[in-house]
Amino acid sequence: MTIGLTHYLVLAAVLFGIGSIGVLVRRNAIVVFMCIELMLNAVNLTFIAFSRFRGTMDGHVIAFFVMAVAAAEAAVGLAIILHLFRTRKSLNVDEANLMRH
Amino acid sequence: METFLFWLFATGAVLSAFFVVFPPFPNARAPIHSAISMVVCFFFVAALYAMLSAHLLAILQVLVYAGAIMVLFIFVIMLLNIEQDEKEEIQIKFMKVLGGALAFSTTFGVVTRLRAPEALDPINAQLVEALADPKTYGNIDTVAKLLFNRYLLPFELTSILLLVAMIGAVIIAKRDPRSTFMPEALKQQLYRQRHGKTVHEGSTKATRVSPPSNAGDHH
Repeated sequence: MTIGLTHYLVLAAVLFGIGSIGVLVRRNAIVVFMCIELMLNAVNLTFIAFSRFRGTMDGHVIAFFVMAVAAAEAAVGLAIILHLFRTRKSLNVDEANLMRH
Repeated sequence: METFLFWLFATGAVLSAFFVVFPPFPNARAPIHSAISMVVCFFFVAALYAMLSAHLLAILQVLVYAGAIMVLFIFVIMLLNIEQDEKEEIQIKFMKVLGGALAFSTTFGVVTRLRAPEALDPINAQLVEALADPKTYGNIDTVAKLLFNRYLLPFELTSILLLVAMIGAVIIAKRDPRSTFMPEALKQQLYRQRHGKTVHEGSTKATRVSPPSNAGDHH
């Protein structure tokens, strides 16, 4: 059995699903953030698999941009988490609900 | 051989991704366990990139994700120094069950229905090799040619994005001397959430977040 595009797409879908379930289930802000990174990674895998099986390289460049966006997002998001912990003394995302009330 | 490697890396990636969400040791739900599993997952995904002959992306995955981003995560985890170990029990609420069921069914539906287009799912590897020249495909030279020709404008915009993110991170994370005192309403709400009752007069000073001028900042 040769490994085709379908295998990679299914693997990326499973990784994305695990990431989204983690965002829904876990309440620690840092872990929620890591799950978002996991989802970004799954999308990158899809891009690279498609570009491999189409024989073009544009997907690599898009994956490169996704990595840059992920790095920027990690910097800003962790700064927000730091600030959140400083003011609330907690990392639980359910407790950070002042904007809702 | 390729089949075996794919299944090895895919199983490793899925398992370590699962361990990010549900750490294997139930009494230690500390984020550091999730972070370590995350690094392992990134390495497996980097191996998959290498199998897809995206050599540059595989190296970047290790450098940027497993290196820079995860070091940032672990740095923040160490910096926060959560002492109370945050006994995070997974609460089951109706909306969470609904959301989880939707996520699961979407993933299940995608996984069971997903078929690559016929033209993109070659029976033998020869077609893939014919599509891409193995000598140039995926190496730095070719990616750089694309990056500096067709995608030059997005590439320059990326640099602006990173600059803005850097400035924003510095501004957000900077310790503002005015914000070390919480408003009284927020203090009351926090105390009620923690202890189920209101603050009495004597403990007002104890709930202050941090001293207004701490000498630790200047070192």
